[in-house]
Amino acid sequence: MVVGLATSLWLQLIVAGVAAGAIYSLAGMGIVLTYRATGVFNFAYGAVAVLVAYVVWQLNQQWHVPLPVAAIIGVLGVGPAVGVLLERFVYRPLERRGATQAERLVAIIGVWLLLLGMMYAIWTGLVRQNAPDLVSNHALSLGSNVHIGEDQLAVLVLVVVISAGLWLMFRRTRIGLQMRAVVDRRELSELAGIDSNRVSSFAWALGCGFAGLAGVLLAPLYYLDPFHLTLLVVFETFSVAVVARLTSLPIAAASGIGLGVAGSLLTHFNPQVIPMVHWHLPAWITSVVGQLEQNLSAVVLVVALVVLRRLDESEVSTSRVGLIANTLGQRSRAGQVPVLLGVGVAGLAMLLPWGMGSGTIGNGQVMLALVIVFLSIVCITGFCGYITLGQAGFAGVGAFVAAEAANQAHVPVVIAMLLGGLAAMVLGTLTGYPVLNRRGLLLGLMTLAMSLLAFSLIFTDDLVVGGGSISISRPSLFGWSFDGDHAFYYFELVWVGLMLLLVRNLRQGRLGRILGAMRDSETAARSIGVDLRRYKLFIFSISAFIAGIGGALLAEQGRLFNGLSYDPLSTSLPWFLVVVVAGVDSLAGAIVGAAAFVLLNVYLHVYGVSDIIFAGLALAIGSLPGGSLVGMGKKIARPRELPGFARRAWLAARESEAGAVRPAGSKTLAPSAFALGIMAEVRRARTNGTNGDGATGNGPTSNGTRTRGAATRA
Amino acid sequence: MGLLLELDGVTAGYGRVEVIHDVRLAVPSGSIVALLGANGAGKTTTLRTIAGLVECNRGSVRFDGARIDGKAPHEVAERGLVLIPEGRGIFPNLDVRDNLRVNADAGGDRATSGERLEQVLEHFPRLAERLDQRAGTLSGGEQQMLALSRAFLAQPKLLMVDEISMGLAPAIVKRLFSDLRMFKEQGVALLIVEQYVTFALEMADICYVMSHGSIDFVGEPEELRRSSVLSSSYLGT
Repeated sequence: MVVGLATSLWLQLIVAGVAAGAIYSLAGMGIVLTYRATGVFNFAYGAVAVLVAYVVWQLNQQWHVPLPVAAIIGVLGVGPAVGVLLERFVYRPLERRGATQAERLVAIIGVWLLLLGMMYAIWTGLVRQNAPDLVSNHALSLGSNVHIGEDQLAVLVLVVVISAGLWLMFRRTRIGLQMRAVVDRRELSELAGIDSNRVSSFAWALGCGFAGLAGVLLAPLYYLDPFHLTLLVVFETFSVAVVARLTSLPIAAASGIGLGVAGSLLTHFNPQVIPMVHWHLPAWITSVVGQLEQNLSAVVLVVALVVLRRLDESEVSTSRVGLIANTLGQRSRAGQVPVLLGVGVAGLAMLLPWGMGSGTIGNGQVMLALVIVFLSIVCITGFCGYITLGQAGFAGVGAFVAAEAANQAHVPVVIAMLLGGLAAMVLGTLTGYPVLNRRGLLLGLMTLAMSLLAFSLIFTDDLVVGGGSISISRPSLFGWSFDGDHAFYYFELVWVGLMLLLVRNLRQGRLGRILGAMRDSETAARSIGVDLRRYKLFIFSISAFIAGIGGALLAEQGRLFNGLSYDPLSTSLPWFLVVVVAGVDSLAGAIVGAAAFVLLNVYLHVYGVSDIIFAGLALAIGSLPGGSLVGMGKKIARPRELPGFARRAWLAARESEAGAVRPAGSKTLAPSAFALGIMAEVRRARTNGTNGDGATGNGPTSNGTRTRGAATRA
Repeated sequence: MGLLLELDGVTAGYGRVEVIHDVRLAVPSGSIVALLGANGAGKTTTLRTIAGLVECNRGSVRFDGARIDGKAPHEVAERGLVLIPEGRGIFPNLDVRDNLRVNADAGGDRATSGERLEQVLEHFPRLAERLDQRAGTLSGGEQQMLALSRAFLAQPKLLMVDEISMGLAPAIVKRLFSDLRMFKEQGVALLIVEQYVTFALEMADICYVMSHGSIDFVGEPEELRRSSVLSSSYLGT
């Protein structure tokens, strides 16, 4: 009977979906667990999962360790060990410093990149391996025509047992109560005799153990491949976690399974005809359903971010609270110093192309385009404090629309670029508008999800971008062609100049003060009458426009729009990371970041090494004197702000030179001058107790107390 | 009477900013000591340094015969030195029962802590009614009652209280102070930082006055009432 057949097909689809979704449940619960216990959204989660899968593969397939032993070493050993290391060396220092959400995010993205780089470096050439099945996939029959694999059944049982166990642990056990207490008020829980470090360590170990388990279970279903498997784990897991409002384990378990079932149904269900009523559907619905299936998790993520109420970060200790806009004063001063330096850099940039081979000049061109893209990150994250992880999406849309407009509508390329910028602006507004009342991590996730949608709906869709790429010619204006390498370089340089002016103006005057106030405290900004929504939308669209222009230049540089080079994870995240490391709150940060990015990528050909270097810098960012590369440069230029020893040595040397503290009659011996310099410095610190460089750029010092730029003025 | 807590030349602060300088302070066993002074004098920092939340740069902190400076906060707490911090000493997102359990688990054996829990709920019937309520939804007075209950369950030898009166009506403050006296009756020593100077002076055996991070005055409440230290400390004259 037709209906009977259909029913069993449906059942089979649901069973398959439940089994697939169970793995996402597992992964989602792990990420929620870490978030609940430590308030950190573990971006490196997918990488940990894949790392453990690789280790198990290496042990089993290469070193012939029996599979059960290998799996136990991986899931119970390597995963938790990675968790403990992350807690000890990444999370704990951040927590102690009272780091901002952006700093935490950068550090954890750094970890992600580090693990990814390591995997590329270790297993290069071994990507796309078949991973071993943990449990045989021998099918069991569940009645008429419905089957389930033994492996699927095992995962399902595992999910049920583990979610029940976790629930019990949080509700009924001492460590569970302690975890909840530590998340709620870390300091108070320490006063109550709880060793909060041990509790966090346990939570990280558990969370990463889950990641490893998910990785080992997922790997056999796909291929072992650092990047793509990570991508898969990341989006499925993130959407499960967000649907669970980042807090609820049962909802995480249920939504993972729901996602699996929905995905499974959509895969096999092609609605040309609605069953029962026999309505014929137009073709576009079929293609929409197909797209939905491909991008289900990203769509779910976007919808959840827009729709869910009570999805705030109230449980996370955000250190940027309070009613004082505390970095405003420092910011305006920062702009005055580097006029000479700016002229120097501009001069260098003008002269640079002479004497360069065409390969080198190509790198210079890429760098200039990246400067523009990075400026878009500076103006939104640096000036306003909003985290954006989807800049590649905006850049890609800019490039795509520019290419299409030039090719299809035969618009002059310069105009087409502007159209591309405007299109990116529209996408930026669309991204920003639904999440106007969110900030921090959730905003970052939203931009990431939108960028993924742009990637898979536009950039890599064969119907839209035939064969994966579109050619685009370099522009010409008033009969001048910028096709030559030098000409195009200067064409870009003009754009860089324009964009620098634009972004610089954003932080001047009233507008600059308002954006700065928003960055430091939305509450404070609102209380002085700032219409947050308007300015947020404004900055989102401006930033997307700039990114779009940069993306278009990037495409024109290579005379090709290639969708794959604008993918959300391996492009957006490193871009964001590089800019933050270079100095997200200054124009120089964009320039330094682009230069570093190009140099490292060009001159380090070994797979993964540049990733590891950036990741290392991201993890070290808290220890850099000025909080970033540019900040460090400024400090070296103004030695008073160098930390302890270096400053004293510098001062001593200078003072001995000037003879300021040279005792009468004595010869200027360097050691004695040095000692006197130190003594003078100590005396000064004693007399005005607050003088010292407690003010570390714009970051809070330990314990959340902040000292305003006293040191800068001293 | 032996000294339960003894600070000798303690200097501490945040980062490079030194907040308290060369503080000498002693709490005899079973006594009530009040630490007074204007806003920003360093009282809270002193308590936080004792509790191990702020690093002690120089000097020593001895508690019950052993040095505790440099120890982690949870180790200090395990020795029986409990701080109710400024603001509210509760976990706002945990329910009242869990708030009480966090501490019961942390110190002492189960039998006595069960007994103590009953005592607490008898003493604060309002908390008994609200066991399943999220602690953050309690009123300010109830929250401080909960904080005191948590401290009581920790079975401290010395209880430090940082401005328990903050943001509360005088009538409630009076009630809380009488609850604090009960700690003394149990033989617990108290170190109290307080803005309600009158209440503090009524209770205290010894008073310290701080200004600009140093101790200006040590003596009995009577002496302090007679001298001009207090007014000059608060008014900055």
